[in-house]
Amino acid sequence: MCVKTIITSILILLAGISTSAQDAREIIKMSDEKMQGEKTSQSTMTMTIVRPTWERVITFKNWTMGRDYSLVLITAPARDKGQTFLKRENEMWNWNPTINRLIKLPPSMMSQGWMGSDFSNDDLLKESSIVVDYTHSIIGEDEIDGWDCYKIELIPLEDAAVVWGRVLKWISKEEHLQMKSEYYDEDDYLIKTELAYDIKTMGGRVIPSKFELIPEEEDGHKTVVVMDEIIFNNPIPESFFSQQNMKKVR
Amino acid sequence: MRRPFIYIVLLVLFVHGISAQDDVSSFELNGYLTNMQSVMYSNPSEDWIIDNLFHNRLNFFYYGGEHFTGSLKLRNRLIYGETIKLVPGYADAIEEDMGWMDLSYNLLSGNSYVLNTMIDRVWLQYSTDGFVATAGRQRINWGQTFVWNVNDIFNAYSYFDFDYEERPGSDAIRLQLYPNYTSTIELAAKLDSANKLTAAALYRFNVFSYDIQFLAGVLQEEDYVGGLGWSGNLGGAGFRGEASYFHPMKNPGDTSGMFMFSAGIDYIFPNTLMLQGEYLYSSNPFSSAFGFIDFYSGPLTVKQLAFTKHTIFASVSYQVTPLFTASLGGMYFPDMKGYFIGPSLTYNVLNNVDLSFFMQYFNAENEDPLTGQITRQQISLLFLRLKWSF
Repeated sequence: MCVKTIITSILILLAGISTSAQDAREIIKMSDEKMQGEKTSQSTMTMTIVRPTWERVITFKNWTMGRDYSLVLITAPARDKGQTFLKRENEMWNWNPTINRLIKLPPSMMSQGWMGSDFSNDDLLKESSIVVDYTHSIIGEDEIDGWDCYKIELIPLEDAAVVWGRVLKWISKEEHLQMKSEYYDEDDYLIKTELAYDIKTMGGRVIPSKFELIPEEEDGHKTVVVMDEIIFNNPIPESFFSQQNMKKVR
Repeated sequence: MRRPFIYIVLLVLFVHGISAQDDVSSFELNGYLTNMQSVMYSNPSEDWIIDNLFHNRLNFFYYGGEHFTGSLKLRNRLIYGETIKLVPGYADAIEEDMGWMDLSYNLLSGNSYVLNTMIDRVWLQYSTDGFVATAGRQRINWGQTFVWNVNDIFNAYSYFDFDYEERPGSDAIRLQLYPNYTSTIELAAKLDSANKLTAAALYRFNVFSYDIQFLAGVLQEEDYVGGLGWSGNLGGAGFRGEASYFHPMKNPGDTSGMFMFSAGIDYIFPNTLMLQGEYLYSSNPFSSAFGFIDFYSGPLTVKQLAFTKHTIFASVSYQVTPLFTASLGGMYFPDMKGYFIGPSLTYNVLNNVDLSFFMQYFNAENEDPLTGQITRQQISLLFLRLKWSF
């Protein structure tokens, strides 16, 4: 009983020390793992592409394992239902059940808007990592939506496969939520802003359940993603992220 | 006589369906309904041939627990207009099934119309970790490039037949082994309507960021076939290719083989502008007696993919908005001093409704097989299609 109390106190103490000593990179890493799961995640999402005169809805399921493996299955609209995207390390494939064909996707696809949205394949399949592909520094503090946030600047490493010149992220001090992100091109023009909303407990974690991606120079354009369901760190075998499973997963 | 298998599949699906009423088995249905108006002319001021097509596709899936899947897919087409009036035997050609099973039926036909239903997929599949076995009419797609698939020996098809992207199926047995997460070994054998066997093995693996495949087999009991294909990238661009060599099985010592090769590059700019280029070589191009008709009706085997020794393809497509895509494709056939131009526009009117316009323009020199006289021919086809997916 006594030993347990001591260990608990030490852990609390250590946690306190690490919080005060944590640097910008550590904050980014925690915020990243919070959404990705330290090991795996599986989620169901509804994405709405919003334009001044129309809207389109796409629903999909997403499984991830670490940074390296992810699988996306489109469940609506009817025309695209059953299509899957597999990412393994830095390679990507698309399975199209209509023509029964596996297509290897070239790197130029990564910067494409995924399914016509403002999210790129890179945003979704996480080719680049906000932890390892950037240097990080805390450049201020702000309040976003009532949450006290660190304002952190991310500068890409020279050899990283990143299209941005720099990225600004506002991470809440509590819970390490990415409340807001701004993406700048190499000439330092703001290209798009990502906002997080509707913070609630999902998959046992306090996380935002709704995201908006707003391109800067397009009035009335945005993409809204609502997380309908998410499960963290449920064991998924590596064989799940296979070409065989691309054709089978439902 | 050519239909025994479908009864077996239907029986198995039915028996399995009623006996396996557990919560893991389920049925699913999707498909589409299209209406397409088409116009064909050689000179716009002369005669137009006008046709209309209602096309309904139904895809049934049965999921019988963890290991069994079954599928039945069919297309119903109501074709009416002038082609059927003008071309003798057109309705019979629509009813013809090139597969071992005869699953195409003209339910009704008259002087001006034909109503056809065709089952182009009907298969049962068993799958377990690293292994899949599929029996029945299925699509075996071994293509790597986007326009001419000389490795796709089980299904030959015409690039110009844009309204049938699913392509016909093969009556086949296919075993797929997955030695690891990015490689496959396949063994497949099919019979066609003439009871001729096509059988081949394929090994595809991933190395240095390239998918590479080798295949070997027999094509319609006439040729030995060997092939290689790849998909990878050069810089940010996709780089894909296929090569196949065919050697006659009869008197292999004193006959020469046939070599076909296709390779292409594709690149997408961040603004969604996509460029594609592809080249096709054939040592023995298919000489067509009917000119453009053969372009359109499609090859009977992969060996008939090329009409000239060299063919070049280029296309550009651009997403004007996520709802509106415009594209322009072209081909050049040096030996025929001919070319093809095909613009298309697709607009997503509602979530599940697309409106598309396609044009196909051919212009080439054609030699009359009887007189040897060379004439320049041109033909235009225009299509307006409304498609509802469900």
